[in-house]
Amino acid sequence: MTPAIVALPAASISVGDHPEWHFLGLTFNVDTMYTTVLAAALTVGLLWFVARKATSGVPGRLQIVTELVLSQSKAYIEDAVGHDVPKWLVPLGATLFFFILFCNWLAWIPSGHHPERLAPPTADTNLVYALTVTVIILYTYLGVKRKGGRYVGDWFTVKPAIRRPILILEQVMNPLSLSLRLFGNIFAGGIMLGVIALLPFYLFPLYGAADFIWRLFDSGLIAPIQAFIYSFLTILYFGFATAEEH
Amino acid sequence: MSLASVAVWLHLAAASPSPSPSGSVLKDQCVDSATKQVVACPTSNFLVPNGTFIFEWIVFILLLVFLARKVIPRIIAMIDQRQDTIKKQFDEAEAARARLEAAEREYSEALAETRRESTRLREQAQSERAEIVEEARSEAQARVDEMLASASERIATERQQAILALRNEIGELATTLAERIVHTSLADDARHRQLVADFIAGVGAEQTATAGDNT
Repeated sequence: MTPAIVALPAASISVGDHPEWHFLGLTFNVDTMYTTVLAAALTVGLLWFVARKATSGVPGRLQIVTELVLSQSKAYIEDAVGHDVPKWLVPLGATLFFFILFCNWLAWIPSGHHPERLAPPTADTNLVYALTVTVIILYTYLGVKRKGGRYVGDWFTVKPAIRRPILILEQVMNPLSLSLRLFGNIFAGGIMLGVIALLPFYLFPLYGAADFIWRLFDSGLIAPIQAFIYSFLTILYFGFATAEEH
Repeated sequence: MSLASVAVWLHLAAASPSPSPSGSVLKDQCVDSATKQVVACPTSNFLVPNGTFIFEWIVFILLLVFLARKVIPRIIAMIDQRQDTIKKQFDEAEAARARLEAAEREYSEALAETRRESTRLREQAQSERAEIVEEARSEAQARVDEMLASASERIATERQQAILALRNEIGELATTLAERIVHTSLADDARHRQLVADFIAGVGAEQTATAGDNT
């Protein structure tokens, strides 16, 4: 073994390795919990700031971005759900977008310990499952409210019959794939940083550039795209749940 | 060089301490914060949620409820208000444009009316002028005719009077001549001729004097 290999064990790639806290027989991933709270605080901070400073005159840059997200999700929702949009649906779409975006961007903040930067909470399945369960509950609620018993009845009466098992599977697979897509993308971003850190010593000058370029790509492109896809597909599922013909 | 580095990565990835094949990490022992007891650490699979899920869910629900109730409606209200303002301004601009168009239409109508009126007045003035000129001309003509008529009438009358006067005078002169002839010796033929010539010259002078008196 060369000295370089011995010098880099800290950069090894690990999956699902979190500092844990055990309480009442349950395991809590401490890092995910505080990064989630941090991302939530940043989301509230941004939106609160915009709401406080918001003006019906000429808006500032932050207000423009926030209003763009809000009006876009409003437009998508009106497109997908149609009439009588419940008043919590636009906030849901916007909250998902900003919250996931801030979660993903936490990868820039130094942690002060190993690993040297914060791990995005979206790279932990616990968060994405929590988001997805919320989304499933809300769109099932809206679907049942709109269609009553037919919401479940459609699963067993839709024609051709081959679509029935697919429809039932979709109820779970759609949101599950939604959450795992988010998790996988953000998690892969972390793994990529680990791989870059494994560059051998004679390529060391490349490390800084490779790390920076990857972070830029990850935060500049992947983070907003994943946040957009998650909230956009969530809105689409609300559309499916309320559509008259599945 | 790059192939070599890839080979080194692969070697490292294989050599680094990786999790067990199922993706779980086993720890020797854990302490439960509630019971303060050392317990066997549960095997964790990163695809299976653990207690963190509950915490994450609560945080997200609180976040969603807070934002949906307190924050986002304010921003949406602001967006709606701005859209209303823009719509109102647009409507106002539209109304102003309509007013402007109406005013322009009114102006051009008034202009056309004025032009028509001025043309009409000009034509009227021209026809009046022509009438006046014609009237004056015919009046003058009538006057001229009248003057000519009265002049010729007067000339005719005077001529008639002159003829009458001459006739009267010729009678007298004839008588006077006969008297002179009778009183004068008729032996001298030359003298006779002289007498007639003097007489005629005298008649001419008298006639001229009479005509001058009459005029």
